[in-house]
Amino acid sequence: MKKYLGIDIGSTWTKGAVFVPDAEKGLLLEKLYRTPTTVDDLKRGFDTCRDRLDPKRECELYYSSSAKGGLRIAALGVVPELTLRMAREAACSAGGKITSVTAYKLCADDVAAMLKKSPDIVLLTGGTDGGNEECVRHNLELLAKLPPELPVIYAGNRGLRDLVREKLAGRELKVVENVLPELSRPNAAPAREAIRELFLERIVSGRGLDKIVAETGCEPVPTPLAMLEFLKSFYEFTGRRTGFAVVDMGGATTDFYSACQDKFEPNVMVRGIPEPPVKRTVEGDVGMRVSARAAFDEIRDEVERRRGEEFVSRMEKYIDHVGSECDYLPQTPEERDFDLTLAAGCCTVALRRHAGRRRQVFTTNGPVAVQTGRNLRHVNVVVGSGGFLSRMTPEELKDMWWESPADPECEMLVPQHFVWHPDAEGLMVLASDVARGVPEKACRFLSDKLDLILESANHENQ
Amino acid sequence: MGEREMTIVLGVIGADCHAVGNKILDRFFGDQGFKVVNLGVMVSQDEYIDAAIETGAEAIVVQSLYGHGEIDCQGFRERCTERGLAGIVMHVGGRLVVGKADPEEVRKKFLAMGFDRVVFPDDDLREEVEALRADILRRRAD
Repeated sequence: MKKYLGIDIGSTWTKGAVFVPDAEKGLLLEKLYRTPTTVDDLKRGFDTCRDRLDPKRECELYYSSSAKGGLRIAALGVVPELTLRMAREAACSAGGKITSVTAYKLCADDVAAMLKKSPDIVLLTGGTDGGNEECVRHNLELLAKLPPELPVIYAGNRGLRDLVREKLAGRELKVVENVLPELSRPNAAPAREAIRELFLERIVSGRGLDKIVAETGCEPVPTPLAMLEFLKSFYEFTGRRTGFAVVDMGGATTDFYSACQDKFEPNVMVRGIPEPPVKRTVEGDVGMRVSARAAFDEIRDEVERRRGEEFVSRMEKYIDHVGSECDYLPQTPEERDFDLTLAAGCCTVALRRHAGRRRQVFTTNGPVAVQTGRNLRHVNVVVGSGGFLSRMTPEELKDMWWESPADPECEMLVPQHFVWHPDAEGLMVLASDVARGVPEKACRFLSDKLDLILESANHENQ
Repeated sequence: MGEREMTIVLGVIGADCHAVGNKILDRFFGDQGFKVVNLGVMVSQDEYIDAAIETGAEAIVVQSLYGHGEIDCQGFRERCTERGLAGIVMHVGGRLVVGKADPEEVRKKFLAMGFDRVVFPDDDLREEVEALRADILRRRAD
């Protein structure tokens, strides 16, 4: 019987799992193993994991890598809410990490700030097809002076493609379809594909991944891309019936994925670019260790309201400590409490940034709600993933979201009735690897895991 | 004709949800050869401006049917200038004020606010099309 091996090369652990097909549940987990990632040569850790799980090389292999936390992308666009938003969406959905965003025309200072964040790619967008040309024309002059080894993806106004090719000749350049050919027609897929190709060329060529490709004949995908694609197939598999979200919180970033469809509601006016059914956002300043300081600065006032001034001043010291010593684990109940508070803050910030808003407007036809962004109210299941959340009990997870302060002017569209589900064995990402080969089986596997949860969610709602 | 296509941004401003006139104008301007970027109803000043910048539109056509046009349109021209759209052609039309105000007074008020043309419900739309075209061509020539 054919078996499937999924391996994920994370920044800390290289994890793998062997799945066997099952008529009823799609897949069954047979073996699970993890070993520290060997940063200098990723192949060593990968081989250790593979030898342990599949010594005879019988399994069909699929693997992903979040090496370097994914490609670092500098996004450029014209209007922040339009092309720049699409550039961000393309970058996030490709599994990239956004290092800077710049709207309108660049100046030399912007370019310097952008380069300081050492991006791997510049994603240049701007103008709908037949639309704004001025900004891209201006920006090209500055981009032409960038170091030649920095690749550029152009996904802007179609009318400027020839000029882009001319001005950026001599550097690695990918010219793809516009991310926003018309205001009502978002088109992130071609830019996403270009980013994925660059991921393979750039990331794979370093630190041993190329050796893995040569030996296995199989290419890796960025971990978040594998996850997003899996969640897309799963959402289709469920007939788009169940809204769900995944929070993947690490030391440096917090990823938020959601799959949900807005239901038609009378007297609600939806503004802005249409939302995709499945979406990923990444918060680069929200995490448990490297980003602990930035995250804490954002939540400090709320922590003070909840726990008091004295708690905050003690927590402040802890944050400084863990920010500089990233592999620190809490030693006392109080330190555990600090970590839990920080985790809840990170989840809350990531959720609030991911969720849309509704505000009441009084019109001559009565009150109307104007909605911008994503409506997560019909999300029923939230999976907690990543080192910290996956080890929590469902009971502890319940405190991971703070209620938003009630604001009659502006309602946050966060989940209403939902259950938390810890991704206890870190299987989400391994199943998403295998899903590239056997999507339906992997969906049934996840469905089987979540079904129990869904039942209890329905039960709680009743 | 070899002439460059004219892109216009269309929408109903403020908290106004009158959708029918908006659909009619979308269709009408489209049939007359304009590329219409229609934002629909309940559009804020910044949404018109964002759309105009991104699509490279040469005119903003503001509709208002519920009588609060004056308050919704205040400062619109200045905002366009501030955001880099100085001199963009701006037309406004509909039932712009409450009650039976003298149309000439209303026209003066909106012209003073910086609109290039004010259109009333009984006006001939063919004239509006000609005027819009002429204003855009004049702007191109500047």
